Amino acid sequence: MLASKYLLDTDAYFERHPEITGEAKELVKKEIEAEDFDMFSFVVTYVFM
Amino acid sequence: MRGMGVDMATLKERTQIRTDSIEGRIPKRVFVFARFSLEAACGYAGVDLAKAHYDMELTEKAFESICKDFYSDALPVGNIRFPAPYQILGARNWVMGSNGAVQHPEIVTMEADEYDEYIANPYDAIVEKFLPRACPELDTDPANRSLVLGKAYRSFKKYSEGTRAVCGKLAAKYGLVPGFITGELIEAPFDFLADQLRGFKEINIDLRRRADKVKAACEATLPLMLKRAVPPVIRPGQINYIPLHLAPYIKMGDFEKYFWPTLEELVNGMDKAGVACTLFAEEDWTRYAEYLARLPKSAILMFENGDCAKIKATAGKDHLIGGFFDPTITLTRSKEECIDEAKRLVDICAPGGNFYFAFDKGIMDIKSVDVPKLQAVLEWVSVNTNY
Repeated sequence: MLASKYLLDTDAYFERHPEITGEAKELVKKEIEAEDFDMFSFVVTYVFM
Repeated sequence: MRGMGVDMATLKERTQIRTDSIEGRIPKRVFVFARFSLEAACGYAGVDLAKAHYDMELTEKAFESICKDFYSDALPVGNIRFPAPYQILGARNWVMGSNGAVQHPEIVTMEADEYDEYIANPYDAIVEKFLPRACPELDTDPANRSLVLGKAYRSFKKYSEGTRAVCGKLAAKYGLVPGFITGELIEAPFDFLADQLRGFKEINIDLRRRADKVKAACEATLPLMLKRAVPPVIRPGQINYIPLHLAPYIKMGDFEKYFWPTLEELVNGMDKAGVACTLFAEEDWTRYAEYLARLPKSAILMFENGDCAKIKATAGKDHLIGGFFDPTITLTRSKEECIDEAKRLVDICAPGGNFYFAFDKGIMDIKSVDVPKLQAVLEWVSVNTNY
């Protein structure tokens, strides 16, 4: 998705931060997904509609 | 005006009329949903539009002048086209004119031989290929591209949140309830493909030369629109907005094959998820009224032109409908004739409920209307349409 393409490579982020595991990793993933949705909405709705 | 200093009883009444209208009950009276753009509000308030785009205090001043002086049950103002983020992106598809109006020039960002790439993965194709064409500032190295997108997004958040705050403040001050657009902007998949990817001219050529690709591209677009339409957290009472663009300009056969199926699936998908929508039928949709009648009842309809009697008898039978009133008639007709036109519309569309009073489209330029006559029309509807 957009964040991983333009702003943040999610996999690389977790590789750099092996200390983030378990529940914390899931929370960070959720946060990234939410950010992804916001950016997706921005691109699809605001720029392309 | 009656909009000023509204008490709790009035707010409660407006809320009840809105709720009854949405839920298919006959309300106390016809709900009034007037709509003015930032351009019109600035024109009315004597505010410089180009400055108001960047200054929330000026936006508030302009919006407040409308809320104060024109009757509406729903908040009659709003804006989603902020020039700053587009300028950061160097957008070619949304540009601010010398008069401050943000306009959409005809643009082609996807070439005819790129259909397959789009169909295989529309979002990747948009982000990687078409977005940098629409927004040349993104056509750079990855590090700078991230910075530009981040800056544009931050700017968008600043202005969208600022506008929401102004609207919330004015709604509370003037006792205005939400209209029938409270959620996300969505497009019919065909319109999404036509508007900014292929353009009006190219999509009409595609319908003749590569219709199968158009169909596949609409089907590939549907999940994107559904994803946008049904967010991870659905707000209670969310009503998305789908402005319908190209259908009046294509043949019935093309509408049936290419435009309608994915639009119907989109609206059905939203309905199943518990999200309503308002479809704004731009231009004349009379010939498609029976299709609109098939949509779930959660679909609210707004019409620009058309045979309102025929539409009331079909799409308006089970769906809440509004629109049709052309406010520019106030420039050429007497006050009484303008009120007569509103009365004619109410007489045709209001019986049995399922009707709200709205303009044929949001007012873009205050000079396109005669203000005292328009105020008289809105006042007339608000006091003479009790059931």
